[in-house]
Amino acid sequence: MDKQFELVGIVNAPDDGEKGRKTAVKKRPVVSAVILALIVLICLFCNLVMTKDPTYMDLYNCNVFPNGEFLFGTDMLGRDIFSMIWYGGRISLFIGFFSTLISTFLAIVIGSVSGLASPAVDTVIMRATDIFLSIPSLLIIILIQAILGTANALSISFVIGITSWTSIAKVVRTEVLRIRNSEYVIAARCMGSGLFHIILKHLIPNFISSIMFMVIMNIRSAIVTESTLSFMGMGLPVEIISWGSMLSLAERALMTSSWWMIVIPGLFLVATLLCITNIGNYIRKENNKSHSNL
Amino acid sequence: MNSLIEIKNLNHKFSLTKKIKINALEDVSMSINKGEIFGLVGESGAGKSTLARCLMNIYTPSSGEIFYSGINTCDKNEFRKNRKFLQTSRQIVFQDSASSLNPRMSVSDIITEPLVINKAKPTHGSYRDEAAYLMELTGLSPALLESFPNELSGGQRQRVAICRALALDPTLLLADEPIASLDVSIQAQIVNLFLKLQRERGFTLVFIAHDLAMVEFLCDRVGVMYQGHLVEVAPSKELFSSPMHEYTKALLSAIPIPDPVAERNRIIPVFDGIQLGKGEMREVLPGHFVRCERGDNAI
Repeated sequence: MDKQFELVGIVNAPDDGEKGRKTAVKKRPVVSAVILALIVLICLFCNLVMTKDPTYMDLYNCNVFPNGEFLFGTDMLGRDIFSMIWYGGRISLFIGFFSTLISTFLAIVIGSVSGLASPAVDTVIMRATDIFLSIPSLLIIILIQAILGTANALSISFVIGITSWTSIAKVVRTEVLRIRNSEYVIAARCMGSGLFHIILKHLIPNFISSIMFMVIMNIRSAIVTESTLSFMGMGLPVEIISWGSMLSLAERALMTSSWWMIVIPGLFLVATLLCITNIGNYIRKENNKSHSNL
Repeated sequence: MNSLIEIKNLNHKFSLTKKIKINALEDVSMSINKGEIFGLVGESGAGKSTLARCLMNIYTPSSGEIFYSGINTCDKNEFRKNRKFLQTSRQIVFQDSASSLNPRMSVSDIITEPLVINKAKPTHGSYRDEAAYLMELTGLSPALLESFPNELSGGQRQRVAICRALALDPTLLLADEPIASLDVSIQAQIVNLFLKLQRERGFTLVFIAHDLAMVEFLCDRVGVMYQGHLVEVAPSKELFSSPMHEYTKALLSAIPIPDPVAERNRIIPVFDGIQLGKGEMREVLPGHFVRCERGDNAI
């Protein structure tokens, strides 16, 4: 009798919860996160690792190949590249984060207002955004930078910030349009909550995950834009050290065949960008799995 | 009994395009008394939810007036003057508990949200204590305080939504099909919960439902809606025993009888879906209103 019961009884489902968790851990971008954290930390505490003064021009040691004293060599002005990397990384990362902060803030404000406003106002804001989006961003950046005068880290990040909010704002608007008709927002309105409360408590927590990927990618593109500008000689001047301004010496470096002047800052730039991209991709995938409503 | 809500000639139109307009509510007039449970029944698209949303000022009606405690809520100036009072004393519970709770807020945050918004002082200690008290009132374990809506079952979520609606101790609670998305055993629990809470707290409950048996069990008075018109209003017992309007008769006969023989042999009166024209509510018996076509003496 017992055996018969066992035959037709409950069959326990195979417990593969552990397995699933392991694969999830595997896919986490641990290496990228560690490398990025290392770069950020060393840049923040660059005083501890710098072997030379990065701004000091040692004219006796120009164009030196990497050796024991100058770990990554020197550039044509005789500055130690190893120290410059960490010192300049601070500026590059600052521009990346600060301009993203500006553009994300603008995107959230403009997107939310556009999504919550009446259809007429919404159309005006969105068409204005479209016009803004259709002008090549490099052109606007150069224009605004010219108005602002001499470039420094703050003005560069401000300029990059106010030109890169458009695509995030569009996503924010779409999400707000979806969320604003959900019943918890209607319920909150019935309770008499103000616009500010709705944006802060209901809208932002619900769309932040869908723009997270774009925000992370924004840090990347801000760093790239700064490098591009500096490389073209329109960004930071040579005496302000950043990865971009180091690369701006590239053409002259090519003539003296001192490859390390390009390859080393380039390598750091690419490594940082790759790490950020990797983390951004992971966040996007996690978001696609998504927090189920049911 | 004195009335809490007076609805006078309420109309509401939805415009699909510039030319096509849908009359969701046409010439609805009725009153709801203080402290009663008023049921609103009718088929899908009859305008029950639209009426509820007009009562909550979610929609602004095209024409007509709604008086709540003597305040004309359709008048923008009067609404603005009494905004705080209106927003704290009227609360709503929606049909779909999954979408009426913010998936990113914890249960305790959801329940105390109305208190935080209106800067009201919780009556039972901290906000958290107030949430725990309300949860116990609706039969939820306070252990769920920190959980998120997606971790709860449908019945639990609906109870959380009821907690949120009760947080400000409202005078009027609108329940817009609160049991439609729940299974039968949970429906019974929620209906009993409404009954218990209403007896304890004495608020006025407007209960919208498809399920006629539930309405008969719960409500003191019932209004029947059809194509945006209110066709009959009567005390619950009277409406279910002697319906007057053709549509009400057809609707009530659709209730299944738990007896196979009776079920097989019964004849369902067909309501041919006539377009209702101009009509008016007439008091046929004391408290029993039926909509009659204008100029028509027969019912």
